[in-house]
Amino acid sequence: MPLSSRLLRPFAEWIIARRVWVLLAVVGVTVFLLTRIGSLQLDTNPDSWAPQKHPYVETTRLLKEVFGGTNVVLIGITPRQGDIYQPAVLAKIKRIQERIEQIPHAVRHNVLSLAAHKVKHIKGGADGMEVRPMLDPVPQSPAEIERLRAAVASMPIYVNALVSPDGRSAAIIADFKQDETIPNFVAMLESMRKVVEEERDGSVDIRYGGTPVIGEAADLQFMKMPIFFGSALLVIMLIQLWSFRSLQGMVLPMVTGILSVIWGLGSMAVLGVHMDPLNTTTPILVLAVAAGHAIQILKRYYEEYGRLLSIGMTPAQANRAAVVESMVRVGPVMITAGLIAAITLFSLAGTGIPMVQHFGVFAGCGVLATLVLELTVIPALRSMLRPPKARETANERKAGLVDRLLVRIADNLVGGRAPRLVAGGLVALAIVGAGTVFLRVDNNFRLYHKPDSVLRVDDRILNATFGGTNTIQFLVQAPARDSLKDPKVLQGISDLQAFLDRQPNVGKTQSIADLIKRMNQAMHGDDPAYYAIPESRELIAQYLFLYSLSGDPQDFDSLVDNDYRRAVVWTFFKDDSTTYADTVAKKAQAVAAKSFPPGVTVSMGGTLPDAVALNEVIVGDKFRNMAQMALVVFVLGAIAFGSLAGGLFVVTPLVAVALANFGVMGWLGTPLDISAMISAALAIGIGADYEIYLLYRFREELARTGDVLAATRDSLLTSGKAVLFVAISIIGGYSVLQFSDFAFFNQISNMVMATMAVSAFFALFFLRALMMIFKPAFIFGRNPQAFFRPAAPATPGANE
Amino acid sequence: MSRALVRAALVTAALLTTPVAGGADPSAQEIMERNFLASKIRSLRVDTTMSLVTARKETRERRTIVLVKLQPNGVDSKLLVRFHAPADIKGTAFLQIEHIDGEDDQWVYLPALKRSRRLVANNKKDSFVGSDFSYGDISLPKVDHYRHKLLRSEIVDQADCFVVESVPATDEVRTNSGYSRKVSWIRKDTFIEAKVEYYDLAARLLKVQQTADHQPVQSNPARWFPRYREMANHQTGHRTLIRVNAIESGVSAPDDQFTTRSLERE
Repeated sequence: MPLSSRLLRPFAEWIIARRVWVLLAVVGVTVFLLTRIGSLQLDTNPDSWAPQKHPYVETTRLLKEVFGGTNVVLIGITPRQGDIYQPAVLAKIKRIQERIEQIPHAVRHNVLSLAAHKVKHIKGGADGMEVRPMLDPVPQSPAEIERLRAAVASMPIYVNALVSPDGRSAAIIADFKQDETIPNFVAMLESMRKVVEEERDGSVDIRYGGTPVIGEAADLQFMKMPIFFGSALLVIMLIQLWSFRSLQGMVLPMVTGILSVIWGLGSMAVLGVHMDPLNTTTPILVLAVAAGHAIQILKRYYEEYGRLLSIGMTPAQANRAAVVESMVRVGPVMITAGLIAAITLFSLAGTGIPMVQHFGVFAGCGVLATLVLELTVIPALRSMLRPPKARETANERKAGLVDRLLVRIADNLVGGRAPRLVAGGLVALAIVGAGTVFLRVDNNFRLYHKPDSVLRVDDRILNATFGGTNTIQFLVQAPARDSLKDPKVLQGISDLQAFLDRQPNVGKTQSIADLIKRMNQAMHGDDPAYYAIPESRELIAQYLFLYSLSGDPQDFDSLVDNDYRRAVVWTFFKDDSTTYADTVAKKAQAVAAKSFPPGVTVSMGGTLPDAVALNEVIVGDKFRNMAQMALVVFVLGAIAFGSLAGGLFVVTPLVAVALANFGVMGWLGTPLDISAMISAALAIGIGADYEIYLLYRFREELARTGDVLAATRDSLLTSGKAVLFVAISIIGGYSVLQFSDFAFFNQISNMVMATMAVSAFFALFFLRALMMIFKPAFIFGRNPQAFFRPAAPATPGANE
Repeated sequence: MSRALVRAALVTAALLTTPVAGGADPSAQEIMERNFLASKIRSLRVDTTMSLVTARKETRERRTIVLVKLQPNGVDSKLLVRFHAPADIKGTAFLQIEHIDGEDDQWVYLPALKRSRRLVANNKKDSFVGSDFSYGDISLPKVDHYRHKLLRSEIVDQADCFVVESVPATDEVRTNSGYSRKVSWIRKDTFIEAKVEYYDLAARLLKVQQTADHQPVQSNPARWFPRYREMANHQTGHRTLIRVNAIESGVSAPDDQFTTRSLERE
């Protein structure tokens, strides 16, 4: 008997002897953790998605520090009749502007509309320029309205940004800081929506766009997760009922599953870590993993119970002895599989993305919780429950369609069809895997919503009306104070803007250079020929001084810093595709390298570049992380089986699952995004488990019977059947996500279902076939041929 | 500063405080009239450093020489501000001729353009040369533009002060000033404001002005000038500090110093 089993027997007996205390302790811990779950908050702060050391993310951080937030919302106001140049419409804009400015977490100087105090009309006159707020007071008479129309037309920086070129729509661009205590977009935009919605009436259409609005819509979906979790639970329970044909069989694995989820979530709350989008599906993952282990032990319990009854024990004796036996037999396998999964999940803590780190740690904690619970509360509980009735045991052991199928497979595997199965599997994998050629990486969060959703309809209209709902900020940094008053630097900014303006899907750019050019024009009697950067640095400084005589000190805060060392070029995109944004950004870098004098650097940041950074990490780091995780699984598997081949067997399903998953995504045209992380983690969490359980059971049965066919049949009919039920349970559980109208969840569901199907196929058939072909020594010893004798007749269910 | 001037200033201060010491507080209107007059100095030349400080504590400094002359009506002043630093605006100058009953005249000289330009009249609520002070904060409005109410007495920076609340008397004043209310702490000894709180049109605290280091600069009537003045915008976190490096009163300030021709003399 291995050491682990020798230790487990006294431990199992100890647990059963003190079952009441064990239960009380577990209930106590669970109640405590349950009370903490209420304080869990949804955190969709983009910072937790973004790889913190990526240059784009560092620029975003700097932009936030110097210029305020980067959560830009575009609110479009379109009168149902006429254009925006009506006193009532303008008054609405002014009221919205003033009330958004009063929202505590609004970045006041980045709240811009015609009514913003800093949005000024720079007007040329005989004596130079006159600077006046655009909408102070709101014009009333037709003559005043016409003056405003002309004023807006004379300020190119605002056309297509604050007013549509046709004058039919006006925008309020508002920037918000992420509230660290309630870091989600729903909370961020709640006050803004309240203010704006009060202005909605029959006279205007109001639309919202921008990354925070997309984030808000996603958050609302993530908040529906408990409904899906509940539904998944129900589906999994029904499948358990079908599998065990007993109430206890349905309930016990769910007890482990639910308690593991409570422990995992409670630990998150205790540690003060927020719930994030990636972790919203973790409870289902933990539930599935926990159910997987619980089913393996429970199946073994029924086996042992039946066996012990048959040797003359009373039901009560057999019940307690079966609890100990199942724990002694399956416990070491579960601990091995659970530890491999937990360690591998914990290894995700080494990634650069906080959200993935949290996911790894908490999924790992969930798996550990499962091990603890399965080794404590379940044996304690099982020993307190009445022994299964004869009918339940018979039901559980009754050979059904699945058993007949598994026996047939076993016969085929041993009967020389293994090479054909391996070849077929390889061909299928090659065909599916070929799809990886078409795999593309893109995190386009907008596309997770249906095309006719309010979000996407509004987004389409706003993008057609204004410069764009997505922003990239190019940060221009010069070496010395006041360098940005240098005409060469300003010309560089202007050239960069000209390049960006020519790109498809770039609707608008804004910078301090636009205002300097406008000042120059105003100082030359509004002659369009002077809409250019002046040649002298002193002149630029003195224009700015002249502006300051009637402007406010913060007028340029969203465009240039106090020292005139850093400036921002705001670029509005009509598309939030990270691939496209990255292409434009890379070209822009090349233009910037030629346009600016030495010492001036240009970097980019904002929510879109953060998503680009995330993509790079997904592509680069993800594959590296997966290789690293596969290596961890291989090493641990090799240690567990004392054989390199054993490691290979355990790691093979992971590689196959990854290949199949990415292949399917490539064929379906689904972009590789952050949701792919979940399938990878699941493949590790469960895929390896299947193989470990089957290998151990096969080895055990081979040692017991000395017969390959019997061992193959028995292992498939016991552990294999459990694997099949676990896979079906998880597929069933995740299938409820198909009912979500949020594609993010549909994608996760697709991938998880595919992962489970492929993992189960590999563990039950492909790897068994490989085992028959290669006859590895860690299973068959040094003389494998000794085991391959002609098959003895056997019937399903006769494995005891 | 001559001893005689200091003595005269102190005597005047004593005279001014007499009614207060006697127990009968002047009315709020009277306090604000004295405050208004306390800023009227016959002539003054002040070398200042103006620091513009952002919420992130980044600072930009401007060095100026300010020449002020009170006009014969005893209410309006002429003001010439010449910038000496930073280098890129050196020589830039700003001239303002106040008209208590009408729009002020303003000119600016930009050396890069080599000629002075008249500025279209600014609103009183506009920023004064890009600082947190508005034109209305610098040249105090007529006292009867506001309705005043004496709230209490309070010590600020060890000086006993009247606390006076001022509310615009008309909607026009309210709109033009951009303030719904001001609360001033007026020193009982000099009638100079030690502190002023400004509330925006939504009645939120917008700015707080504080003065310190009051220096007597004129006798008969006695006048003081704060060597330190700070305006903090509580909504943006931006602050403007004006520190006096040197001050000279009773300077010769002929009227031709306050002309556009003089403005253009760098």
